[in-house]
Amino acid sequence: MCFFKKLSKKNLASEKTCCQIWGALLKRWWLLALLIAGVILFCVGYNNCDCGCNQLTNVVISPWYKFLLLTLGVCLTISVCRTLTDIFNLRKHEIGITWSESSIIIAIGLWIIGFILIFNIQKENQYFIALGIVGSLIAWIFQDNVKGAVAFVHLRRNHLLSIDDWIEVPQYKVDGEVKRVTLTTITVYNWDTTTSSFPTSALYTGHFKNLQNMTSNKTYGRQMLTSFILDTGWFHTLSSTEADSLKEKMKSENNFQFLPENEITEGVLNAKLYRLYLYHWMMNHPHISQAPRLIIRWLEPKECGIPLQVYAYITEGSVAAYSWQQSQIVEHIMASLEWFNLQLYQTPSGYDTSNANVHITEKKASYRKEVKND
Amino acid sequence: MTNYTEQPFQFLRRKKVDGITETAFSPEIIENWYKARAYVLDKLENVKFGAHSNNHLHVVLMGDTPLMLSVARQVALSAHYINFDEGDEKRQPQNRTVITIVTQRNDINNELLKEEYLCNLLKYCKCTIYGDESNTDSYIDIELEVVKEWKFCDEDFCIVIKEEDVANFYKPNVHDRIDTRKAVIANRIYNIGTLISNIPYEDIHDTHRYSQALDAFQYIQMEKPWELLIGEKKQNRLTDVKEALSNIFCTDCFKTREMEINMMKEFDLKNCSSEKEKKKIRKVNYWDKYIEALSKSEHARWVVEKLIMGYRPLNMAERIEDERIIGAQKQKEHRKQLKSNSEDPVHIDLCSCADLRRIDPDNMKYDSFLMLAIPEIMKKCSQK
Repeated sequence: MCFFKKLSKKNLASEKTCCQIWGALLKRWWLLALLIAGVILFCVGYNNCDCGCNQLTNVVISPWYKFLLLTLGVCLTISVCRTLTDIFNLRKHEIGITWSESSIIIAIGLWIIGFILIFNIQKENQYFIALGIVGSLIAWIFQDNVKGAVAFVHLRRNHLLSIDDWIEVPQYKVDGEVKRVTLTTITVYNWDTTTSSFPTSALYTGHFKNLQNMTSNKTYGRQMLTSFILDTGWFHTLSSTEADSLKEKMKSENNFQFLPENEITEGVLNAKLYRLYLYHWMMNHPHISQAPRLIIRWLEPKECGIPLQVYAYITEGSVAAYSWQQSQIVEHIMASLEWFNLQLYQTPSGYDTSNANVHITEKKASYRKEVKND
Repeated sequence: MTNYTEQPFQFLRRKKVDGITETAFSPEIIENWYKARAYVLDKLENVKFGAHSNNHLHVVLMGDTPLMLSVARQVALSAHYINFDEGDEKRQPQNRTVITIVTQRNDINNELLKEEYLCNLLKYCKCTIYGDESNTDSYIDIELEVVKEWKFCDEDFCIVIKEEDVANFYKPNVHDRIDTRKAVIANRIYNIGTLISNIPYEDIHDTHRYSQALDAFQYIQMEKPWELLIGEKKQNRLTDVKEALSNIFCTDCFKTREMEINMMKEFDLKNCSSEKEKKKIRKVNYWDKYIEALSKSEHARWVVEKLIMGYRPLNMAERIEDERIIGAQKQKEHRKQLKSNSEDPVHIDLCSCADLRRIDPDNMKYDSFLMLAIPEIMKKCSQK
């Protein structure tokens, strides 16, 4: 026994597929031995049938014996395919996974066909109706497995899913990397280090998002959609002094390449200049793609201010690199607001009120009527 | 037997100046171009590098005569290799081809800036003129050096060229005619239509996506009969002439690329320990494996060629104006207008590969596709 186990492990560890198949067969050596013994017995009984039928021969050539052999063969095939699927999932051998799981479907199909042929089930046969009822019952009980098999074929055929793909399945609140794909179940390691398993059919009937191409930098980039609420109290047209001061600032930062000097004039809205500056700065950022689109726009004003939305694509796809670049962009946005005399809106906090950062002016509002003291 | 040769350089003209129609180049200049092309292609025939090689080509030109400057021009057009690395924010560019001109002239700068020699290339590539460096961080894979005297160099890939060698190599009626079959076929990649233009940007270096376009190219476009590269219709428009010549300069590098791919495959086969590994390697398509490096090299070559042909990148004001044109169609028309300007043509794609991915990623697939089509084009043209 130890010998078969060792040999099985040695072959399963091999790089060659035929060795792996042999190793998987040896893993269920007892099933293989039973099957071989059964086939030998069948052959002997079949040959002895002409010499004279005895009880053993009758058993061996009976339909039930043939069905038993067929079932043993199918069980062995399914067991071998499951072992191979484990190996292929680990080695990320996509074609191997497809073939091993498809072989299970083929084995089950051959089992059903074998059953019909062995027992010679025909329309006029008494077993036909019973088979129909049992078949419907089994199909109803295992409907999820059947759907899973269909989903598996669909996913593999259209290259929708591979090992290590990052997927999001909102229906099951799954967000992580695919680690195992079988006919019936998909196992995902979530980003919070938990593991989720869900039926393969869920990806066929429901919606899922595959983010792998994006993280592998195979697309235009990763979307950055961020809004900054600007305090409109700071919006104003530039005076000549402010225009000169802004030109000096732009010159010192070498930013005329993003905002031409001739556009910084008296009477221009500071928010407009900022939007133009930010647009050209992002258009020339080495980590931002101009395609498919780069939009810097004002959104609908709110009671707290007017949002300036940045809709861009960062060329870094991986989480850490993308977050780094996004953070650098946000930091620059916050720093450059000051050059244009703009401020982000922030609701006064407890600190602001307790430290008298909120002032109420003493000047009367101009709409109040003056009360004359007679 | 069909004669597939033409004399395409004759149709190139100088840029318009102040609205005056383009004038032709003198016959001496054109003859120098043919001489330079014939000699340089022969001399660089066996120069090749692997994708991970740290070597580079160094060409030393002894002299500053018009013929030698034409040789410099031809070297800049032809010497582009797969191992060039344009670097990034943290790394300097590596493995540029270095062209050294040995001369005593102080106005060599002005001479090289002429349209018949390096034109705009000098303004954007790394230059060291008598010790003064400029554009050290340039993304261009050609480096120019001007020195007063030349000392012996023990670099592995150093070629010294003298004027008499070039002049003696030239054979009139042989070298002044160019076989344009490869160029004519290469030009047809733009006739494939939606099979290539509809390929989305996603995973641009996945060669499997080009399979249908490659089939259309191989079985339909390549089967069409040969035609003149610069026919009567194209001769009148300078932009069309430049585009046609672009195909010649592009296909001049095909042999080098093929040799580099074959060399890398042979190297890997040589380093295999077992017959089974060799079998695996023989099945691998090395054009697919190195498609990204090939595309980058092709873009680098294209940039140099365009700068020599008189194009230049957008300046600051033009860039800002281009960025403010919103709408893909309007932007396309505006850029086409900039390219077609006979006096001062400007091209949006004259940038590093990294920037091209940001600015105009959809055009990158033509570079990838052309590289994949090289084996078929070479096979077709080797048939008589």
